[in-house]
Amino acid sequence: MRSTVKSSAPTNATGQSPNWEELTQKAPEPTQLDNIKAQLDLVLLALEALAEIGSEAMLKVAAELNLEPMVADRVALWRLRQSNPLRKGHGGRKKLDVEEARSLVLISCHLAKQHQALIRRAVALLEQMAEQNREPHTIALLGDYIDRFSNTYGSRMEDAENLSARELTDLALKLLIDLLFYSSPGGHRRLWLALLDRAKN
Amino acid sequence: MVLKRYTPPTCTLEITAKSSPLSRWAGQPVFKSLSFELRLDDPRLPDTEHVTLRGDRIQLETLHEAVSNYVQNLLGESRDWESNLNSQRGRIPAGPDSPEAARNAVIFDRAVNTSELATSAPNTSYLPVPPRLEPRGLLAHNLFLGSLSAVESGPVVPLSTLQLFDLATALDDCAAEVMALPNLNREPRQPLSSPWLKVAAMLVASAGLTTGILKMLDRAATSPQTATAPAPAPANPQLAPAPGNPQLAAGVSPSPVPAVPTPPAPTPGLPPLPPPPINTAASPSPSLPPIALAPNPPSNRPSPIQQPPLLFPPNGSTASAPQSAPAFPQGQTITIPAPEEPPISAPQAPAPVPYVLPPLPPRLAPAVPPPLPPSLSASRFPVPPPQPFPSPIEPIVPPASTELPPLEDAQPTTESEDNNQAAASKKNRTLFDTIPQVSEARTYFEERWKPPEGMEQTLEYSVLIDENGSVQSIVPMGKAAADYIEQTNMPLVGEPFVSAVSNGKNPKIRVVLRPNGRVQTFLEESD
Repeated sequence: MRSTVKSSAPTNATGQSPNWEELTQKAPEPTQLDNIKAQLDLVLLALEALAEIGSEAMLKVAAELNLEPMVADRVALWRLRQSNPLRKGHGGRKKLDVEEARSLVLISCHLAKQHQALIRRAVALLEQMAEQNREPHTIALLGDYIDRFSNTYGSRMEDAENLSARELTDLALKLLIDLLFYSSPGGHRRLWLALLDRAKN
Repeated sequence: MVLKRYTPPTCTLEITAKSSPLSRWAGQPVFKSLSFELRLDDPRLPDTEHVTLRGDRIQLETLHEAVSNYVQNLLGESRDWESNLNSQRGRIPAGPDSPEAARNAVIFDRAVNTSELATSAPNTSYLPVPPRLEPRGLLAHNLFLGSLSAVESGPVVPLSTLQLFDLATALDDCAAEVMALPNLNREPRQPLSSPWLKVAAMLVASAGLTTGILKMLDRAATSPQTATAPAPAPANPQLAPAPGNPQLAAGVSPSPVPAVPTPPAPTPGLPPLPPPPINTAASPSPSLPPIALAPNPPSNRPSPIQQPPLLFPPNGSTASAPQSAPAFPQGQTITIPAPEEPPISAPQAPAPVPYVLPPLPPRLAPAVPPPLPPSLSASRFPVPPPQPFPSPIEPIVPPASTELPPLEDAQPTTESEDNNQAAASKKNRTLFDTIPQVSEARTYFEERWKPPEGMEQTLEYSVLIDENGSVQSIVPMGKAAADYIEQTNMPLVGEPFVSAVSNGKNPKIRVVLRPNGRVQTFLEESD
């Protein structure tokens, strides 16, 4: 049960069990998976950039959620993320199956939940910057996030050189806002549906 | 009377309702006259921009639907990364969502675009126009109130992304906890539908069980199985807490269950007919399951006792004594606390649902707030709190799925009962197996279910069957079920499972796997 007290620390909203069942009710077509892989990798990339989450934290969450069968170690995680077709090098080689995609959804949303306070603050700052008509870069939290995101994207993704800094910033900010919604108790459901929705198009 | 309050940082959602007297029979709160007040009171905004909305349950549901759909579209909007990033701009229609607009959105004005106002919401206050949202760039959204418009609010409220997030969160939480509860005012009557049958069955079973328990109580003193029954508190039976039962307590939090076993008199005590539904025209939210406590058609009231129950008696027996409790096998566990006197004092729970009541209707009912200690629930549920049924399954953890809660579990069982059970299930068909697939599913799991070492929870799954008998979907009920799904040898989706369904319908079978190796299956619904 959620507290009825005004929650000043939104991170308290963690602890919901991973509602796997909500993800099993709707399965993607195999052809959608490519797209899903790319999006999931980006969601994790945004988390990495914002909260400086490394694979260690992701594996820890995988263990907490009993998802070790899917994501047992660094190698497994790496292979999953490497399945993103946008990735440089061996991108897209590993097949990501539905169960693995679901695991990544649960891991992403659990991490988002853990860092909800930070995400919320970043979005609040973004709103404030917009209100004052200032560049998001001028605030340290957002500037660091955008820089880290852009750098990591550039080093990992095939198409990075085709993108302007502006476009990468847009992508980073859009992902930031999405992360806020993924951090809610039903976030995993939202992410899963969003992945399916996007993959359709 | 405020039923529930949700207070994310930028808004406050208050639900008020009257508790229906039917709550006592439903085993969970049943509400009528539910209404809400939503205050968009973002502290970052001046008071003058705070908006308060009020409405009834239907309006709350449509608002929830609008917000939820809008958020989902926002997240899943069709700018899939590859095409968006590679062939920027071109494919995306100009509009508030386009990258251009998104960029401009960083220039974020709170003032409402007046032309938008003029064109978008004409006269909405007079028509039942559902609320809707529109984006104003990446960071701002307009909530068009439709028929929710309040005088002071005007037809549209600008929302920042954080406000939208908080609103969505509050509405989601509320939908999971309150709106999902049965409401007498809006459910259309469903004559002879399965909810009704379940009510009848519940009454039958409670009647039968009461008799049975009364009889068993006579034997309780001598039966060796009474080890699992709480020792009847001789001095003050009224205070004997139900969790005194060690087996109950194993799965149940020590929340003091005030349910003093009250051998009820269900036959004379048939629930009064609820008032006829008023808002039958309401569009039920798709996530709302059928109301569990459907009105009892008067014509059938005299006879429910004669009907075979459709549900398990609380002892979980599928094969034994479906008709009447007195047929309980000798080795039956008595999990009912023994005192026979009705409670003298129970101010918080004027009508405790007797412990023996088989909790069938709540099974179909959505997310019931978990039992709380009376001290908590009294303040948070001003209505009489639902009397917790004996539910060894994680009663404190809210059901993980908002659609279907875990079964309110039957009473714990002992080995001796299990033996009876096992023997009985050899016959494999029980009276509850309305279709052969149910017993086939039981056979399937009886051959495969090996409880993992150390597992204590009962696992429940809702398995939807294809016409051809293969698995269409599996929904684990609760965290434990999801956690242990690997160990259940559950057939994968698409795998053959049972024989083809003859009537072309898709049955949904509830599979209950117990830590002691027992397997139960029954038909959940067939649509």
